[in-house]
Amino acid sequence: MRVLCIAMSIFAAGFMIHWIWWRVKIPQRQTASLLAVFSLTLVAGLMALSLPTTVGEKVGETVGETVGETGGERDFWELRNAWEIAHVAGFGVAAMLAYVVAYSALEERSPSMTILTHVADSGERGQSREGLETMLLGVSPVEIRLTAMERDGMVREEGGSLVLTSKGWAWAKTFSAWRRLLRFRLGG
Amino acid sequence: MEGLYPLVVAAPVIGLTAYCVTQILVARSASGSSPYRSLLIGFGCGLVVVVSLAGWAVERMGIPAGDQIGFLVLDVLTYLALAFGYFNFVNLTVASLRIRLLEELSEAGGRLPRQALIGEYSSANVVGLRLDRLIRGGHLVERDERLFSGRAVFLVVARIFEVLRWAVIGRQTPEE
Repeated sequence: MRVLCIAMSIFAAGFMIHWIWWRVKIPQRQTASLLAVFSLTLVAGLMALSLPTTVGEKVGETVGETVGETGGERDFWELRNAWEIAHVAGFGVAAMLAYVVAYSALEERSPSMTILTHVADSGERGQSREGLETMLLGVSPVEIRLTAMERDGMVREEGGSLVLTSKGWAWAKTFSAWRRLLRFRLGG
Repeated sequence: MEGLYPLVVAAPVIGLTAYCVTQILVARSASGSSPYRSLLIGFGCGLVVVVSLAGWAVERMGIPAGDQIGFLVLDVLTYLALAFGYFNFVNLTVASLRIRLLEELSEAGGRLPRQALIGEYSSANVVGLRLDRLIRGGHLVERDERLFSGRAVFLVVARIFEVLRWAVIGRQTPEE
């Protein structure tokens, strides 16, 4: 349970830092900031909790006794070997990436989710197709995504045309290759 | 038997590999069927691999039962996080408008007039495509030319995201 508690605590600490920061001010580069917060918290947590096994033993003999810290409590919050560190790091990285993916759905409301909640909110009356089209006209999903692609450096505008950048080409080729591998039709 | 710890650490990645391989094989062998079927089968296979592998290893490590459960739970959580990432990667090829626009640009040689893209993907087209997909999946039901809620799975996910958006972002906008 010790390794599980440590892994969960480090992730929870990262989440708290992110939550407090976002409540004060949402940064301009949200994904990069999220990655920075969770990576730094993970590295700091791993360093802090793996150090006691090497230097803490010497310090613990003198400091631990004077502050009344018991050996059991001290031992619980420490990572004892490289595999424990790797175990916690594996969870930390996977959870960070999963949260960043989930966060993109918080950042930009998807048209499908908007439709589902709008229909559900209409209850017994339901919604007509025309009503949903009118509602999403104001959202203009294509404009929003083109603006986001320009902001993220995937496309640039040249004389009224959109041109793929090298980053855009890389993304397009990756997803296109995977879609063909899976024999899926063009999505969207 | 501490020597089995590396296997416990690697189990989620091995599970993810099983997920990807199974999903690709199922998708290719049954092309034309719902893409989510292959994702579900792949996810199940990966989960079985993780639980079997990690369960087998922790049992032979000679550690207390509490630690065995802790290792197993941590492996399953790590696998769920990795599987969520892979699901979203594949789902982008199925449902993402942004990836569709990138592919359209790529197939046109890397350049298209902005107005042509906006015209081709009008709100009516975008909504129509999504409505058809949601009706096919049973998430919406069409009766007398009106749409009603169907299966609750996606709606529950949408509500969870609304609560999360309120809790994390609130009404703020990014700083300038």
